[in-house]
Amino acid sequence: MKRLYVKCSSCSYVFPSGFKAESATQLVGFFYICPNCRKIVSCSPPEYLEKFNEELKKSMKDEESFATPFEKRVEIMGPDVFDLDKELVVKSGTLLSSDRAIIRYRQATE
Amino acid sequence: MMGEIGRPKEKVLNPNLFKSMQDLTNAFMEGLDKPFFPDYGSWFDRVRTLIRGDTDLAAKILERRPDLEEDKVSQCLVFAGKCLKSLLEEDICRNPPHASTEDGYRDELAFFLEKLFRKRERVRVRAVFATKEALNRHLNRIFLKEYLRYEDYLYQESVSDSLIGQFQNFTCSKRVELENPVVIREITQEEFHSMVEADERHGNELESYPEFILHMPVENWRRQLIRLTTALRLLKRQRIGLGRIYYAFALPCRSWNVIDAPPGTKFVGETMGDCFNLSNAEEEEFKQLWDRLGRVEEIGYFTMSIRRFNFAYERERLEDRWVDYFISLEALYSKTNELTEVTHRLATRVSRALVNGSLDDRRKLRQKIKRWYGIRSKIVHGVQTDLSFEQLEDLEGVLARSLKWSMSHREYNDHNKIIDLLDLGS
Repeated sequence: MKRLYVKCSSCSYVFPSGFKAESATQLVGFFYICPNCRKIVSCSPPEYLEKFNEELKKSMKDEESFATPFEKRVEIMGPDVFDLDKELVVKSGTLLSSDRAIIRYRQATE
Repeated sequence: MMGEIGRPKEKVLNPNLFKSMQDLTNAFMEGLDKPFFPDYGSWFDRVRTLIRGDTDLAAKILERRPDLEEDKVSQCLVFAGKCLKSLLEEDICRNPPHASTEDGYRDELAFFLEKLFRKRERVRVRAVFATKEALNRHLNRIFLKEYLRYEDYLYQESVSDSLIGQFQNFTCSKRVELENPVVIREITQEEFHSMVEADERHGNELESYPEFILHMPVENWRRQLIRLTTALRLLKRQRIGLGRIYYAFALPCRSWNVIDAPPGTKFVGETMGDCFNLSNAEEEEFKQLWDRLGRVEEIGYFTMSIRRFNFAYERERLEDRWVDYFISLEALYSKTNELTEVTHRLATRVSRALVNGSLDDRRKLRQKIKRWYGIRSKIVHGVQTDLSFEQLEDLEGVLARSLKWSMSHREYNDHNKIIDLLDLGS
């Protein structure tokens, strides 16, 4: 499981998304509230970051775009704001698809 | 298309109306089950045309639109008529802003159906549903939700249109109630949905989540917004102003309108940086400022002073803000017929009003105002100055203190008397 991070397109602040998943391809259509500048930031799978020895790098590998179909697709409608105080683990084989669901992950520290 | 609604019916107050609306929705979803082409007009216009129930018009539509099926379009007309009949016969609220005439209900139904069409279009564009059944279940849920909101509105006597304002870079720790029913409070999910939808219609994207919004009646909304923005700006120096304003219709299925903030209340500049946080400790002073502004806003010299104080927030150039601040100060501290010795009079009066302490402190402020007035004169005569942001903030502070001093003065209503008292040093 990877802890996925998001980079704010407005202020460049990097913050935890609130999701842990096997692959960033399991998260589609989510938005995040940047804890630094409070802007709403969209994040597509290739934009999620992951820590490799404390260094942040793109989480999605090229081959992941050809990931096998997921067994379960969970639709989350928006634009509701979902407050997370704990990291959500996205189960293996599940795709979380959101129509502009906005995540606000309060626990900024790991 | 919509199929049988298998959701908890116990929430439905009026099963007859529910059935009529369900039949109407099904007919329209089936009849206009085509992708959206802007050339044919908006969903609202298209639906409104059919809701009017004019068979000649329907025939003309069918001539132009061979892709539509005649029997399905006829069904739309039939169910529109039945639904209108139900609405006119039921014992529902008919006081404004509720509809009371057939034409009014036609509009309400058109707004209702337009919303469903827009939602269906969005779901289709995203193409997230694997089967037609799953899509129908989803659309049924949307219908039920929208129906329940509409039904609630039909039976609720005390509903009214309102105005929602969004302050940029603003946070608050709790609900702040001003003169009823002006209130700063947390936004609801439903309001946020409507806000996003209204923004999308105006080509704006999701930008920030306004945790706290301003909610107010539509009467005198411009004046109230100016009063509120001024109170916040007088409270502390951090930049504050309004982003977009929304006209929220009481009819829940009707999209909100986006309105421009009135001049003087807009937020200009970067939205990043320090946030304006209205703390619990500041609430009382804020309310006091709100009350005092309410009693002075219509008094001539205050109106001018407050207007230029607020205009300065929207100026890009420091020099323009400087001149605005001075016009504001002069409006506060000058009598209408005083055209000479302006610098001396202004500097003396400001220092007397704001410094209660030593003569030395008073003298220092007087000298400062005289220097600043010199800068103002250079600016208006087109001479280059080396005005700094710190100086501007300093002047802004003096002006804010002056406005607060004047508003709280026992003779606030008699401008000449305040000035005479200052000149006499009492």
